[in-house]
Amino acid sequence: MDNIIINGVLLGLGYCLIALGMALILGVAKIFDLIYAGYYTIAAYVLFLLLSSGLSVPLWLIFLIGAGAAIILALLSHQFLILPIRKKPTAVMVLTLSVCMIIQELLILKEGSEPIHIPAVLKGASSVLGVLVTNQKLLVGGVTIGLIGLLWLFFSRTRLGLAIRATAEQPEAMQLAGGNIRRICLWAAILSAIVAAIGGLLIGPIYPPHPHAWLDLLIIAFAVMVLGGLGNLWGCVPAALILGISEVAFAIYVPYGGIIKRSVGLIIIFVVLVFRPTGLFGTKGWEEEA
Amino acid sequence: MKKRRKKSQKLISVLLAFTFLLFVFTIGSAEAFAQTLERKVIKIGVAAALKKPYGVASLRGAEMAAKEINDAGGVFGAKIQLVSADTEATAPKATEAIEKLYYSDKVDTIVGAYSSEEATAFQEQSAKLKLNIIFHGTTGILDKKYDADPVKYKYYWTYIPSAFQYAKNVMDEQFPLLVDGLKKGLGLAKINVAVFTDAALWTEEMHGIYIDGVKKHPYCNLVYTGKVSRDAVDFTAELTEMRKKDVQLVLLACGYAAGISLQKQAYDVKFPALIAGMNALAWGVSDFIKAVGVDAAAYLTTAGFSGAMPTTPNTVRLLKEYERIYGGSPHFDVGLAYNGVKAYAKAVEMARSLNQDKVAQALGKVRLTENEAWGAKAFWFEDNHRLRVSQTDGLIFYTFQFKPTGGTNMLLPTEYKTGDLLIPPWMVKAWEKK
Repeated sequence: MDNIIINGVLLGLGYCLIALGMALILGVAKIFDLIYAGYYTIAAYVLFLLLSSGLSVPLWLIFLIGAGAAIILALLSHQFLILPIRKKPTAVMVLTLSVCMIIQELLILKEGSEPIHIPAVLKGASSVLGVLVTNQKLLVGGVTIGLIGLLWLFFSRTRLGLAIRATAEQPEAMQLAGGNIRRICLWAAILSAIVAAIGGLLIGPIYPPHPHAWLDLLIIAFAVMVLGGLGNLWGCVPAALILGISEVAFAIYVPYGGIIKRSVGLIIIFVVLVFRPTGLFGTKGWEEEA
Repeated sequence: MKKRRKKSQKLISVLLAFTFLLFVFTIGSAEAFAQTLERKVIKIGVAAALKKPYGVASLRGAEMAAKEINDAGGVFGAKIQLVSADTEATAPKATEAIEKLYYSDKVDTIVGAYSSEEATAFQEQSAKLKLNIIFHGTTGILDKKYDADPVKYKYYWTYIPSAFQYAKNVMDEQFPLLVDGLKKGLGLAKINVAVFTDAALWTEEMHGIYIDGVKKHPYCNLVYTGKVSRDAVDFTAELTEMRKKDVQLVLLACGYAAGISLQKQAYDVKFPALIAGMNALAWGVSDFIKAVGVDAAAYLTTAGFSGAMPTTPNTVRLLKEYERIYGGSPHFDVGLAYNGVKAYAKAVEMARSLNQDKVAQALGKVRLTENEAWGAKAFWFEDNHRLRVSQTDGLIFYTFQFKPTGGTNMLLPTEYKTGDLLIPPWMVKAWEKK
């Protein structure tokens, strides 16, 4: 049981970190920005390239450069590709999917198709209630909790955060009040890219990144968001924990459950969409606003 | 007198004519001998997932073989020309690639590397097109289909061991060595073993063979069995369960990315067991170290074959040649593709023709010697069109271990052994405490 709780919670927090940024952009701009997976991957690859370059660059600077690369990609893609066709969700999905595939092919050309190795920031392992877990995973868990707290403060205490919330809840009212929706969407994209980059930089050492990983990331992010409620940022937290714990329980209690544990996310998407399309914590009418 | 002169002149004329005819016949025969092949260029298609390491390796192996053959004058003067096509590691794309090579490029044969799912499609294509295809197909399904209809599948040849052969090598050679080594190294009477495989056609076949072998061993307890999808990324649950069950030896059969994640995560928690068996991604030594890091790769013990390790003198020569041309160490598919092209060229020589039926007959009899093959004492196809695997007269299987300082340590066959079994120090410490 300890195994399921400890490993499940840590896995869930990792999934939460992956899904948070996507939930942000979806909640605010109502955009299915699939390039989100690309922000994660680009940050991880920048980290890998700088670490293996032999240049003596401090780790904090490498992290900043990785995050910077993700932010630049987000700004460019939103400004020139996504926002102009924002009102056509199908076109946005197809376009952003294409960009993910282009990024995939470029990475294959540069580094090959196999996974890359990123050394952990925190090496070693620690015992938590008798279960040995890696320190890197504990770092991911801690950063995720901290990030959730920071985001809560941001959205409740800062002008920009309140403006983003207002845009998410009442975009027409925000526009009437003189808010620049386009600029707010860009800020949301920047935040989303920062969260994705943090994910790539910290989770990359645990699950080796590779050019095709974007699909797995999107499945995880979607599973969490669908379970938590599309557009509901805070719904991601319990949803991700449910997903993580379910996956670990599946692997342990179902004979050869390891083969299909990755499908738990897809099964959850299916069941929730059939019986509760708004998700566990979602609100009706979200999809009409999109 | 006049009559006698006329007679001798006639005799001389006849003799001269006969000599002339003999001369013409001899030269003519030599000409006919040299021009037995229908064309001056032999086209060999290389169909593989060209963005994957094993696809690139196939192409390189074929290039090295083609260069050697052409530098030596070709086959009856006919030069080998390679044409490549990307299968993208999927069966539909693989079928497209083969058809493109056959219909557009008009190749005489195809070599290449495929996933086990693609391989069955290729066997069907060889029958449909009546084209000799010499490829990499591990799954035992290929052997069963051939046995059921050898006439239909006579153009299919596979130059890689089967899953059964992998498992047999692990259980007959590697497993006893590891059990003995761990018993001595840890001072244990019995070893707790876990069998852990990913879910591909060929690794599924190995899972059952491993379990049977462990159960039969008098000094082993089978305490855990597990399977994961081949792209699984998180193994904390499985590693925790194995640790709870005091696993000391993990027998792996992994061919995909899961093998990389597992190795990394086991190292991260200093999992106190020896991870062994067969991790196919580790056969590309440099790529594996690039994916997991030198520290995490250390102590992984895997069976392997073909071109990655310095076994026979010819293999050592080819490894150096590979390093000179491409840099680094080769993926195992380099050696397989090299042998495939060489075997084909020799079969064409034996058949004196590019006719598919004649070459197919010759391929059944072709034999590369130790001095011609890469990673083999001899290279030849058995009756079921799968290459012979044998430490004495076929492809050599070896077991090697990654060293903590980088590099590898060959454990088997004893003929090529470079060191004793290394046990992770954290494992020794963990079992000392117990």
